[in-house]
Amino acid sequence: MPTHEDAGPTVDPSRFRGPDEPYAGHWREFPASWPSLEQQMPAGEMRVQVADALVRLPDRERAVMTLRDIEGRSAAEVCSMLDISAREQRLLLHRARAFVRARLEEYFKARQRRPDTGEELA
Amino acid sequence: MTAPPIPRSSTSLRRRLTPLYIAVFLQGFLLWVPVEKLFMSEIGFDPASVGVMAAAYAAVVPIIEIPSGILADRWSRRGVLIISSAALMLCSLIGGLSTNVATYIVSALVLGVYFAMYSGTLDAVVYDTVLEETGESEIFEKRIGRVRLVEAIALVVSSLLGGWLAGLFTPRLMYFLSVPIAALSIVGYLWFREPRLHKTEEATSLRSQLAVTYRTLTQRGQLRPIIALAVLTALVLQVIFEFGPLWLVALAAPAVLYGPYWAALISTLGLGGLLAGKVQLNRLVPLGTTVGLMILASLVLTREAGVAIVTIAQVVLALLIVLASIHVTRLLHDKVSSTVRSGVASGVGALSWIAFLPSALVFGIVSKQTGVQTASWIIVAATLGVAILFVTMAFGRHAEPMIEEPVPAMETRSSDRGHAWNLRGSSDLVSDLTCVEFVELVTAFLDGALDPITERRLVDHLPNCVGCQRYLDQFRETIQALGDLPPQSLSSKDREALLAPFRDPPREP
Repeated sequence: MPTHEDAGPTVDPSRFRGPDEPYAGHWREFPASWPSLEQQMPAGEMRVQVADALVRLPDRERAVMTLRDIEGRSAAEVCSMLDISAREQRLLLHRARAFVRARLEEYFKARQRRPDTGEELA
Repeated sequence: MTAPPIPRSSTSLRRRLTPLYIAVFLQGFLLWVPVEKLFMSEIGFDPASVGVMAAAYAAVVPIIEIPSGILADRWSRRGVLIISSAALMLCSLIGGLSTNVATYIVSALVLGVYFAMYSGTLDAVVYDTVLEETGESEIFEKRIGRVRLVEAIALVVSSLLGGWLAGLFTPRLMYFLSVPIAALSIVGYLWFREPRLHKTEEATSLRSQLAVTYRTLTQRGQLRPIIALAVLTALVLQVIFEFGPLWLVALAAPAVLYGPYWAALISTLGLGGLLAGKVQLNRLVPLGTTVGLMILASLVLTREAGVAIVTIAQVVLALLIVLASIHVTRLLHDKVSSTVRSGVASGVGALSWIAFLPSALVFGIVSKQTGVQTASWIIVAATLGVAILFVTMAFGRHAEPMIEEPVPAMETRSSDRGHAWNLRGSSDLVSDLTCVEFVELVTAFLDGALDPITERRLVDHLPNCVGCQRYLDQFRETIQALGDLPPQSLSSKDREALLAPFRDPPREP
């Protein structure tokens, strides 16, 4: 039983060129590069962002992501634990990762606009 | 509005790699190498036992290559490089103490340990440092070229110096002098800050990592020609460097010529590195020229010729093969994920040694019986293999003539606008994957769950598209950040809650 969370693109379609444009389906503008983690991120800041994104995930996605990316279980293990197909597992995980990545992207973008603060986001 | 790119890449990358360059230089500074054959003959080697020693050496390297790569991926690449320095010290010491064939072979085996620990690991460490500092793999070729240059300078300088000093003193002394220099390289490695990229998926078990490395090496169809190319280029180089001096022996060249000859041959490692970023082997004309010259040079070696011609042929062939092998390394590294990269690189290295072992024995026997000219048909065959693989790969990927002006990613990066997408993709039946498709396949790709055709399309897309490279890197960074979260000590109640959505019948909102 696919729910609303299981369908649709994981990246905003407007970020890609439309079918009638040259280079259809390619990036309109590249994702901005991220600051190198070790150098420019105060310790723990990234963790806070990721943890924050995690709680905003739909339940099923959060469950799969917790098992796979935080607890480090294998895909096969997670499939059998949750009794879901490999395809469904991957779909949920992919949606969750794309969501967390997008949150981080937003965060870095905001942080770059205010390069000196870096501590807290209003 | 896009924020301006952070100007951190170039200088900080250079600064970070400096200790690595210094360590590489010190490791390459082996005073005994130019006089090795001379020393070996002094302690009782004959040409046939030289071949046996090469084969023994070739046998030990692949045995250690695989565990060294896995150790590098799972423990520390820097640590493995430090072990390689220690092995080098030991090898020089045993070599210097040797008075017979048996102990010298022991020293050669320890040299094999050094080589196995060093070879794949260094490439992987450079690749990950470049990726970590700049977020892109584009300039890896240039950086690894720089490393090869440093290696070559060390070899050339130590060859000339070692030859000269050995004349003044004894070849044996060169072995002892090399020990403290190798010890200093450990200091360089300790000073180097190791990239953390490969630790992304630390949680995976050793067994599963072995499985992934094995699967990457054996099952991924699109990797096979690349692996074959990597193996063949390494084989040709190995044969030239191990047996090249036999031409001079056959021509009864005066001893004084060995130093400059060896320096010229060794310098191809550095020259190849310098040229690597400049000669675009994915383009038709440079590829054709390279391949043609390669075959020509290998054929010259099958003919009777003077010292000058032989030297030129060997140098040209070695140079072009180095060029090709750097290009192949880049292709290989682009196609495997960071966590198994040095495992795979070492696996490829191991295959090269396995191929070298019988080649060394056959080459030794044939050249002893019928001369090096006949034996060098082995080189011609391997060179032809390189040429054929390169050409078929180029044509397989690009049914249409290759585009003349690929857009360098660096240029578009400065504005972050437009698209570095290379036009040749559009005429290609296989690889015309769009970025829209790419972003949905990343998880399957990282899990190795794609069918071979889709995987190839994805991998072919990547080098041409800075946007997708970044997306993939950011995906990996995201996964790494998740892995860095404190391991959740979930109470059984919390765990139940976590898994509940899968247990309970769906609840209506």
